[in-house]
Amino acid sequence: MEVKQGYSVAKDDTEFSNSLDKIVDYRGDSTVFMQDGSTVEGYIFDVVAETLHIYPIEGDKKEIPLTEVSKIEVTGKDTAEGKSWEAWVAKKKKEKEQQQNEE
Amino acid sequence: MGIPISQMWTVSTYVLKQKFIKRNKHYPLVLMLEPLFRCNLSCAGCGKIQYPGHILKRQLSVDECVQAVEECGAPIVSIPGGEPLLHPDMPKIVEELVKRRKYIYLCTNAILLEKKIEEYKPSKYLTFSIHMDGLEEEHDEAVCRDGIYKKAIAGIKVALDKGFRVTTNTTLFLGAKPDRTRMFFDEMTKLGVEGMMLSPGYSYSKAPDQESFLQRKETYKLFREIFHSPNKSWKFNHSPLFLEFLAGHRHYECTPWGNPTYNIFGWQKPCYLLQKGYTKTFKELIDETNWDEYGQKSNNPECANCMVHSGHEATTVDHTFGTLGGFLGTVRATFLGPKIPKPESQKIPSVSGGK
Ligand code: SF4
Repeated sequence: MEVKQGYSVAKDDTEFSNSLDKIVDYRGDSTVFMQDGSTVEGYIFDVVAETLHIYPIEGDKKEIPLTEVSKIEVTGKDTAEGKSWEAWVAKKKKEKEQQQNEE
Repeated sequence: MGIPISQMWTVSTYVLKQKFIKRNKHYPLVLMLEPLFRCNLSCAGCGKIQYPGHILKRQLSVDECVQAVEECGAPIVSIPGGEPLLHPDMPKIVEELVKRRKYIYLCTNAILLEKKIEEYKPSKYLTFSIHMDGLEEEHDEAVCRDGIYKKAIAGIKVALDKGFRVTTNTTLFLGAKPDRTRMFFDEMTKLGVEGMMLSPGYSYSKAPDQESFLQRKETYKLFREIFHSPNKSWKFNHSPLFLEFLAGHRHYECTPWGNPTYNIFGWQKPCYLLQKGYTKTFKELIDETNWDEYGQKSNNPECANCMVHSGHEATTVDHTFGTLGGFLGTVRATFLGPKIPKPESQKIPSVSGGK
């Protein structure tokens, strides 16, 4: 399963725990849908003892017990996409090859 | 070596106290204090700045920085980022840490250094550590913007003129050219920097063991070529044992607790590079992290190729002050120069016997 913008997982899904690990690694925002119908949008940076640690888009850090969550959706774009060292080396290599072909 | 005697004295007495009086196995040596992630550059392969905009706008307050420094207790505080000079309260943070007699390495790309230097006072406790990844061509390529090398050189000159301590910090990736790196060392030496810091780049590979092994071997080869018959005037801001480690004369395991990292998320587990969760207190970081899961011996693939400064230099310092062999090795390497195997050497230091 690939976690990317638009991906969502319900709390009662068997994949929830695996997906959550990937959402924590994802370098973009997510929206947490709560059991009471409210939502919290922000950057999830950790899960400790069945509690989500999130920086909401506005305001200070929040801790949300997983028991209060009904679904999580990845709503922000992946800010790390294409930014790895390997991607940069590949891009440079392509540019140099192009330059050589033009000469 | 380029490290002043007063700093060496502070570090050595601190380490001896931790090891032999407090009997503390997991003691911190350098706090990596990341007060913000925003940066005015977007360097290739930098994993520190890829966050949503609202995260990049956040920063640690002066109080939060001071509290982290006091909680940790390390004698040296390295302030990377992001770009620390973008933090509006950085002069105040530095002032507070100087008051507490912490040796600060303010790691900057120097773009703003000329503009902001009047906000700082020269002190033996404050060093500007300028990010320089090589000569002009290599540096501008690594930071993905032309003209930055020249700006950094101008920043170094101004800081030196004003009497600040200045070092450089350089990350070398496989593929770096040894002869160009040696020319770069000559240039920095001519400028008069106090010392140069080096680290191999971190590459996390899920490749099978054979390939990991090859990467380590290539790292040794690179540093053997760089360090063989060195210019005697080069000064490195490192333990000489760390240079021997880079060149594969000896092996050291990682001691990630030696360089704990604190940022807006909390105390980062287990090290500066990996993000395996956060704790609210430094004590929790030390007590709750399963340290056996990290380092080359652990067989953790994320650690297999890692030889970075932030994971391994603390190990060399511990070796120096913890064993007679380490102490004598340091004395020998300080006066006679580090032992660097020949570039063509196939020597691989044994994982268990390197120390
Ligand atoms: S070996 Fe490298 S990646 Fe692994 S814990 Fe140490 S510093 Fe971190």
